[in-house]
Amino acid sequence: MAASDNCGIELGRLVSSKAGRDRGRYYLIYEVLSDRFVRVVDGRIRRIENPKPKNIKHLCFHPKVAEEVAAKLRQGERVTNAEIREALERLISSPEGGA
Amino acid sequence: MIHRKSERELQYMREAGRIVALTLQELEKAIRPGVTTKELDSLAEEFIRRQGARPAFKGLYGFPASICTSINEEVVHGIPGPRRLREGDIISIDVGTEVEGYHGDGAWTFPVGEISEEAARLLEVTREALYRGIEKAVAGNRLTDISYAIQTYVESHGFSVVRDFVGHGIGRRMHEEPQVPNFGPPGRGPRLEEGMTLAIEPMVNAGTYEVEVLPDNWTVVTKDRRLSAHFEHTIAVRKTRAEILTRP
Repeated sequence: MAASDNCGIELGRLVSSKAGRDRGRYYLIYEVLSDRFVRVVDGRIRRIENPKPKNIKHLCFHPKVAEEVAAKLRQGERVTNAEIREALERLISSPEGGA
Repeated sequence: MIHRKSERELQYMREAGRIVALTLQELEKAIRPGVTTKELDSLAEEFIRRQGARPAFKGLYGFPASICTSINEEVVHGIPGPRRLREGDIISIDVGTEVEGYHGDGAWTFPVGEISEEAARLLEVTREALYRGIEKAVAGNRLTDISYAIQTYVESHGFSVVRDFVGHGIGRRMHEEPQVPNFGPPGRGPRLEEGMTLAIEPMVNAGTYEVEVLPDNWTVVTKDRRLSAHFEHTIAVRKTRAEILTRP
């Protein structure tokens, strides 16, 4: 049975920066601009008031999605910086397990 | 963490794989116009249990049957039902087994009676792509050397590889790390080591590589509704040549 590719571009996906002065920093995908560009937030330095635009080439995609954040973003509901920080912390500290 | 299997673990996986291969052989004999996919599912389940294994797909992520049956434009994860095979169809059958907690996973696309020239070519190219990928599954190579070999072979024949679904590590669980994509540049990903066990499974479309999931939440179909084929083996990485575990 084929595994679904759980590292695609999607809202709430955990990513980390591969290039730029923010290299190594973790974010969640906040907005998908095109198949090449996204906006990312970490709730701290990059808050939802000014999400960081990133070329997907400069991001490492992790097999984890902040589901509650993703659900809210998909519905167009408001997400707070605190929620982003919380979700990020939880995803980063849990082991990477792929389905 | 990619778990490398011990010789004892590989023994169980060989047995699980052998039963996958035998089941596919049994199913091949039963494939003809008029047979329903539900009948194939019952036959497979009974056969697998008689061999002392468990059909591992049943209940996996909530999947309702023992095998996946995907006809024509269906790529993977088709659910067996009352649909009857017709002359000229192609049917991809995906079989999973579990023996003593270890898994086997394999798939094959079969022709139903006489099929079109394009369909026959699609099957041939997909099967060969699988073996091109397996050739790269040797210790010292990088994971995506497999991906690259599959993609370049498929695309050189004018077909496309599915992106949204991928092969996978396999062992104690059906899906383990790492993911094994059928596309992308070579030389990336973890270095392959002896004892790693992977399910390599090119899904190849006649037209666009884009796919969508039907409202049953399982069946994956090509976006342009053109044909798709799927061949899969579970293998163990070895020093000079991968060992195919899903063989009779």
